[in-house]
Amino acid sequence: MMMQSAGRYLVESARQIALAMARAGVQAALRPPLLAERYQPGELLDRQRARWSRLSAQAVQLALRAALATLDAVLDELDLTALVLQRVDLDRVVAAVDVDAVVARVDLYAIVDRVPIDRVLDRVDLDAVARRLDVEAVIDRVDLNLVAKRIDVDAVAARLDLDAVVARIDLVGLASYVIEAIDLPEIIRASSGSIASDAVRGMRMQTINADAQVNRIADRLRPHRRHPNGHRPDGYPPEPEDRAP
Amino acid sequence: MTGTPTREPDYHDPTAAGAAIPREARQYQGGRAGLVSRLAANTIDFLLVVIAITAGYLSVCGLLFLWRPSRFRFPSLSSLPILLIGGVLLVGYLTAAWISTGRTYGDFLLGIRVVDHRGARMRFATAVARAVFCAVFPIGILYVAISPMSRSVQDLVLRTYVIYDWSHQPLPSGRSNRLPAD
Repeated sequence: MMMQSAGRYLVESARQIALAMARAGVQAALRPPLLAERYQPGELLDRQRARWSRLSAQAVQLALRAALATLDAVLDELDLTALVLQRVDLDRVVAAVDVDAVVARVDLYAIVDRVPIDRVLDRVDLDAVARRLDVEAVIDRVDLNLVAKRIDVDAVAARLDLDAVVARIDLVGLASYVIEAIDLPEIIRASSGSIASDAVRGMRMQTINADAQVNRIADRLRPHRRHPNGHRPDGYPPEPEDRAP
Repeated sequence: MTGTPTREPDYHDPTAAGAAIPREARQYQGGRAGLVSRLAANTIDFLLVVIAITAGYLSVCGLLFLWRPSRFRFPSLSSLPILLIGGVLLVGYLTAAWISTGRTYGDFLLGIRVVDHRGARMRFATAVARAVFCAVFPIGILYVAISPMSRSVQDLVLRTYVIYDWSHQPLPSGRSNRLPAD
């Protein structure tokens, strides 16, 4: 074992020494100390390498230009749309697109700002749209009570020009119609008569009662005759005591 | 004379003639008016005539004063001219009232009305005769108290009736069911 390790050490050392000597030899060959730098082989190699680099870059540019020109010519000759439609399964492509993500990235407000609304509205036939609307269904879905609660009636009334409304009403004709419809003269006559009779009514009822008392006294003084239907012969309704069984 | 006055159906109809009549009075409508009501009405009418005579007398005095203020004296009238003027005035007033509305102002206040035997408005001749009879023989009304049908002497002679009638509807001139003949 020791012999093998010593052998490998010696071989490695020899290889290192050989490499160092080769490196020094190459260095000395490429850059001899006594030779002017511009004539040294290493310097010549460096200049040649730079020249080759420039030439290769120019060649690559020329090749790219040629390739692009060739590609343009090819593309001009090809109908790419037809080729895509023929070769590409667009349904699969569209299915693979995350439309939500696309929409999320779209600035709709910016798009709307760019839309000429007035021109769009000018081209819209609103009458035709209105004819197609199911207004009944719309109304059914509207909570009119809620809408009515939110209406500021006072504000609406404050904006009303009542003078103009009243000016357009034929008040004289309306009053004549109402008076004719409700027979106002008869009401006035009846009400005034009833007011006056408030005082007279008591007097009338008192005299009626007095008449009845006088007739009762007279009935007791003369031979009594009672009508079969309960009414007294003088035409009065039966008195309470007469109605008693 | 055994008939019973039928109550006017309209009196009990709140939508028709009975609308302005109080409920408690509707049962009496069409019934024969008694002595107290008729006496009160006649008293009011008599007072009206007295007031009218007084007003006429004062008017004449005023004219005389304006005509000759220096020689003015209240004119003296004997009782006969006053009675004649009052009688004529009373007869004219009663006749006009009975043939027009069937009621004098006193009758109106007391809610009574004079009708003929058909229950209708009296004819002119009947009204004149009744007015004269009432003016000449006013105590005939006292017979109402003892009459079984509450009729005065004038009513018996001229076949008229005095009924309770608070309605404001005019009395028909023809035959009416307001009061049937007895």
